[in-house]
Amino acid sequence: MIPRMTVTGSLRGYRYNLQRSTYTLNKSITTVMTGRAFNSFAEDPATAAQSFTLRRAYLRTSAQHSLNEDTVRKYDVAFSSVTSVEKVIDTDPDAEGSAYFAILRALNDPDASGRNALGQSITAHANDLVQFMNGRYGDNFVFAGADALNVPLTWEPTTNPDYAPDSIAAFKYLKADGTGTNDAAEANIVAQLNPNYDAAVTDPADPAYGQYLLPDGTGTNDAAQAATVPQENPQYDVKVTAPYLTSNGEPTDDQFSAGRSLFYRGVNVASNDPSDLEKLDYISKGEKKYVDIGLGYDMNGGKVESSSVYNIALQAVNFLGGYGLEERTVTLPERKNENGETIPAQTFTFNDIPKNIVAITDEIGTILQRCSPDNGDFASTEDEARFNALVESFEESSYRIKDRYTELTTQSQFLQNNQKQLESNAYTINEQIQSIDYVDPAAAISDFIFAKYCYDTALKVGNSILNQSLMDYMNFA
Amino acid sequence: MGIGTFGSFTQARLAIYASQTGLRVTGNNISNVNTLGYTRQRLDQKSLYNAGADRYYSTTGVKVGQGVLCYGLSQLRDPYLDIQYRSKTAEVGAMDALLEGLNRIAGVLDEVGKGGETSEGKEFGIIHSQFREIFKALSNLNGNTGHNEYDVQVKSACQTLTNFLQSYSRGLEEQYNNTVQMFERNVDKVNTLLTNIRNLNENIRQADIFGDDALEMRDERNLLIDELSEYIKIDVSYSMEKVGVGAEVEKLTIKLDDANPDASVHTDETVLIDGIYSSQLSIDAVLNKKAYKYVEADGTLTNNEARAELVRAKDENGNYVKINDDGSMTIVNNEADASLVPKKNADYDTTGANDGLLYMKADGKTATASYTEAAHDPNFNITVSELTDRNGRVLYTIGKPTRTEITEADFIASGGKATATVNPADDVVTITTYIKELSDEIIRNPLWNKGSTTAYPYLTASGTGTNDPQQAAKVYQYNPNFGKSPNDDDWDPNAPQDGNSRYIKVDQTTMQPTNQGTNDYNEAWIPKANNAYDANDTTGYRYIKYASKDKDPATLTAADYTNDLDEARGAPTYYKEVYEKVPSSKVKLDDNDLYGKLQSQRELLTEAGEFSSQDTVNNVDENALKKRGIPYYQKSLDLLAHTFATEMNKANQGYLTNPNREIVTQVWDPAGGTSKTGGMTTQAITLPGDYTLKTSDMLGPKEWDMTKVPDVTKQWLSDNGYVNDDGEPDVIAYLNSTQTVKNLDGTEYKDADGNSVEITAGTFRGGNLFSNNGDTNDDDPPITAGNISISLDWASGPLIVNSFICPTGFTEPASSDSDNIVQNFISLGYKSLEFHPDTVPYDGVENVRHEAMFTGKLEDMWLNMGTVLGNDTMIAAKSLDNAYNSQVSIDTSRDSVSGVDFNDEAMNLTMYAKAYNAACRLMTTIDSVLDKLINNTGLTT
Repeated sequence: MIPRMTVTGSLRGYRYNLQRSTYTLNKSITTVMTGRAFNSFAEDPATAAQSFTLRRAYLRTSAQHSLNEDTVRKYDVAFSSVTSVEKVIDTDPDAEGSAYFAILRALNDPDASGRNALGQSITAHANDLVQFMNGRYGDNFVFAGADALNVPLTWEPTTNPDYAPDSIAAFKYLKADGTGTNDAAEANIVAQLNPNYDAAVTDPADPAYGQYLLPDGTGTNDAAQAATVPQENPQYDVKVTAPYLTSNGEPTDDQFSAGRSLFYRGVNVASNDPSDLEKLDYISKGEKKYVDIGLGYDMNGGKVESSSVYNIALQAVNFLGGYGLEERTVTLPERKNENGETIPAQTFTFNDIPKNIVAITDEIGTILQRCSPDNGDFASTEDEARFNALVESFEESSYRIKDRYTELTTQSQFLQNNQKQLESNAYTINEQIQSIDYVDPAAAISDFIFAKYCYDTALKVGNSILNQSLMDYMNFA
Repeated sequence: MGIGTFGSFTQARLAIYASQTGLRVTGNNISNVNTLGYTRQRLDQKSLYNAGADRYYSTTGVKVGQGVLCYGLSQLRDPYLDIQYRSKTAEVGAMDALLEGLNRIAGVLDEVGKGGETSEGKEFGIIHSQFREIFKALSNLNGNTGHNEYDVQVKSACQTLTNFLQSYSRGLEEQYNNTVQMFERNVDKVNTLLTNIRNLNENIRQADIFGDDALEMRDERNLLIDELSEYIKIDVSYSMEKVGVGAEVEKLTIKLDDANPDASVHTDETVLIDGIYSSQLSIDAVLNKKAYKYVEADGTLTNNEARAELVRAKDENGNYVKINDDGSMTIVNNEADASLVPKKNADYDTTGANDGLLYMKADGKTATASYTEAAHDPNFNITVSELTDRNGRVLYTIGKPTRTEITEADFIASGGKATATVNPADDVVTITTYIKELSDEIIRNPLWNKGSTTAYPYLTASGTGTNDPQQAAKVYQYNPNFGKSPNDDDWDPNAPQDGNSRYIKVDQTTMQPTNQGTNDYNEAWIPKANNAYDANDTTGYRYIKYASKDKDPATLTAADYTNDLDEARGAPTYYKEVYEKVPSSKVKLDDNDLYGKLQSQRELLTEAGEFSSQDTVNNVDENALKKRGIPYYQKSLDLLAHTFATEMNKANQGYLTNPNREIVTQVWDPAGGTSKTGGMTTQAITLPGDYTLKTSDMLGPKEWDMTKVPDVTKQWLSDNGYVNDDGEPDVIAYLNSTQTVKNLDGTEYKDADGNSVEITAGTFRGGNLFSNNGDTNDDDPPITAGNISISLDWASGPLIVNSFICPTGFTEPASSDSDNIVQNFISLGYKSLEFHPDTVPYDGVENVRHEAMFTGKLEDMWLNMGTVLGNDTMIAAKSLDNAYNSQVSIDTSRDSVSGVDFNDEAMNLTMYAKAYNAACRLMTTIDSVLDKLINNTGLTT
């Protein structure tokens, strides 16, 4: 049966459909104005979630890009520093201005007259190396590993390895109980011994007579009559009493007279002390400072997977040839001295040759500065031998640094490539966001025009929704 | 009988009247074309015809109808379409309210297209992008560890996030409060509708009784019912109600429409309107538990002892007891022997300040006597009141009586009077009536002779015999002493000694004269005696006594006969009839009894989805886990904020370790340090049982995974007093304990003065970054979206722990080491977390499921909220669209039946106009014909 259409029914249907047309038109207007494919989760929950996920990826990539950019800059600074180091330690014999060039001159100079000056120059190179490696990027020291707030390389007064202020050898006198003291007043009082005593001498006038000395300085064998003095400590060794050593290896109490040692993050780089080595081993090999620069950050067993992050800890010791001491044997060839006498070949073995190029350079400078200012001769044959050993060590250390330099170059290149990769990723993600979030303007406008057309048509229909009825044709006249 | 000569005029007059009425009906239809709810009316006509044949009806005669009668107006309405329409309206109401609520939530939570311009672009969301801002700041801190400004950057980003979370939480709270107000208003609206429908019912009933169809009032009522159906899905039915004298009127009944999917629940068929009685809805209030003495069987608190559940009495030690008459108690062995006593409310407390105040206010602490001041029940349960009429009288329903036979003695004891008792437990009135039902068996005297002259003691005035002295002729007794004095000679000493009385007074019982005088002649007569009376003549008795019915007739004497019908009748039967007059009572609706706008708003206020307690799932709504209202989103936001804060706090606390992540303690290394003068270094802590303390065994800053600790170690911890609050061995207690510094070889270190040096076993670092209050570092009560704040310590200065790892040989982490930031903070941006609904406890919500509701990253949880909301909104929008479409379609169908159409009405106009004209023509024709008959017939010119 055909439904009976009534006035109110027709109006209701029209109102309902007009409402829908208006809604569709408004929606298409919003779409055109915002350009967005959806404006709420409710319109398309899955795509909205996908959009936010992409946006998160974009933001993450952006942060990684920013951090990578920062890291690239840090590595640029590092690269520059290491390049400077590399120039100083360049083992090319023709590299004028390098420390090695000065060393070769000191080694091969026929008259050796310039060794003092060369020594000073080389010492200055050592200082330069420290300065290069103490460079900063921003507020951080570039080569301080994970301790970037503190200056990594410092010169410290050379400590006396034998310094033992509490040992018995540190006291001049002995007390009555056998313990040591440096206060004569506290010391045990004993008869003054005759240093020239010879038991065979019987002549009292002979200075060798008598075990003891009388107050007038003559000898006597009667201890009771002898002059009294504080009891001296026969084990007394001045070497253990001074905390520092001069550059010549002499003990001293004055730290300003002391020689200097290179410390990295508070640890002597030229030390064979197991405690120091253990620390430096960890710092140079074990210490990491990871950053997330988009390598697929991942956790494994509760710890971050090292391959998924990037270690930006640059350790100065690693770029200065290392740390610790090594053994080297040097043979000085047979030669003639200034008197024309033949000095046979001599072999020296040193077990305390530093591996660190700064320590090496500094010691070379010190040795050269000890050379005779008159003829440039080494202060001793041992100095000469040590100089040669240090030069060998310098060369080897230099090679190690070159390897690190190459490694750093590779790392810088990787970071730059990663930078490009991150940019590319961000671009791709952004493209995806655009394709998901935003509508094609042409489609949006077409939709809008169609919606408007429908709406206008609906309005026109509205004018004739109430058709003429029989009422309009009735005539009872 | 044929029509009279002038009857044809009547025929024409009725036709004119019918057409005129038809035009008026059509006019009314046209007039109301725009009246909302108007139902098209139709004039009901029938042909007037006198039924039945005349007795002397001629077989050749023709019976013609006598015209048309208008007998009523009908509304053109299809009840089936009404049912469909109202059902769909309930769906529209439900979906509309749901969608409106979800849109309001979306107004707070939906971040699509939001988020202003940033360096990275726009529309990244607000909270969503803020999470990224935090991780970006952490990334910067990672690259620039040790510089306070980067810690501040993280703090600022976190501060912004906490502000957003608090703002969103407040937004949701505001929506909740708005929805509460709307819900309250809608409950009021429903109550107004119910009252108005009830009043209309009463008016229509009155009109019905007086024969008025009251169509306009019915239209108005239909509109109200339509409106009501938007709020509640209802079942509308009509029945006939007797109003006495054989009259019946229509009665409207509205019930809830069986919305509850649980077939065992019948409260979803609760009657809302029963004729002139209607109920009202109310939202349950939170009761003051201290103010109620007893508990009813369904757990409802009450002060009505009679309504309390009866339980077996127990003494204070839990023994079953019998309560003796004197109030003492006797312990009994069997539960069944114990006395039944009203179940007491364990919370009842008269000592509190709240005594007697029945409700609790929203603060949960203050009691009140006023329902309007009381807090709403958290589940917003609805109670339907008892059905009352306009004057507040409760509807009682009288059931069929139960009849039981009783003894005569019981009947006599009852006095034959009905009794009514009210049960205070349920106000049910029990009415008991007593009935004496006479036997139908009557033994008649077969010899009864009405005309006997000897069988009756008295004679009537007509001279016939009678047994009834009252029917006998009256013989008045005159006083012989009347008018005399005792001094007179003829003074009769045997007569009344009263000269003033004309008559002698007769004892009306014995009918014998007394010696008293009277002037009332009615007191002064005796029946006229039948002198021929023979006392042994039994033919004057109508009946034989029922007691003598079995005697041999030959042995019957006068004593066996009677004229008393009752004595002749068989033994009566006595009965007791008991009626129950049950008052309409309140009905506490089940969780799913409603459907429509009201229920949707209620669910928006109560449904917590996965956060629902198991008790709710078991006892209230088995589908509770799938329904999500504002509480779901509030709790999800709380859970997100809580998890974020907890993870960040956890990441920022711990103990210093060596590079192997073993927790270290400080020891004295005389050979250590940089100058060989000795110094502190660290050493991994190994407890008895060779158990080395590793951070991987930590569950959190304050909790150790004791399952990984060997028994020997546990025993050692316990023996040395390193225990937690529960007295159980605890590694954390050890780490926080004070220990003396040892040398590397394990001997005790002494300082220069020879004293021991004390330190804590482990070196704790960090603290809470977030708290539940910016003025403290507290995270208990738990951190939620509403209270999440930067902790006091963090607000005071940098607090993020960059690293717990001390490099080998060092007692402090390296200055820019960021191991902790990478391992534990940045990882939060990648780590998949489990979000457990029971993580954040809420007062009064117990037994919430632990099963993870979502597993993913922090930001994924946020997205999940948006996605869930989006899906729910999308489904609600589509459902609303469908329901609305259907509703419009059904409404149009209703209009096709009930609506006014101009074409139809034009046709009616034409039809009635033509009919009117024709009737007039008929009148003219009859007039013309009769004129011929009367004036011109028989005349000749």
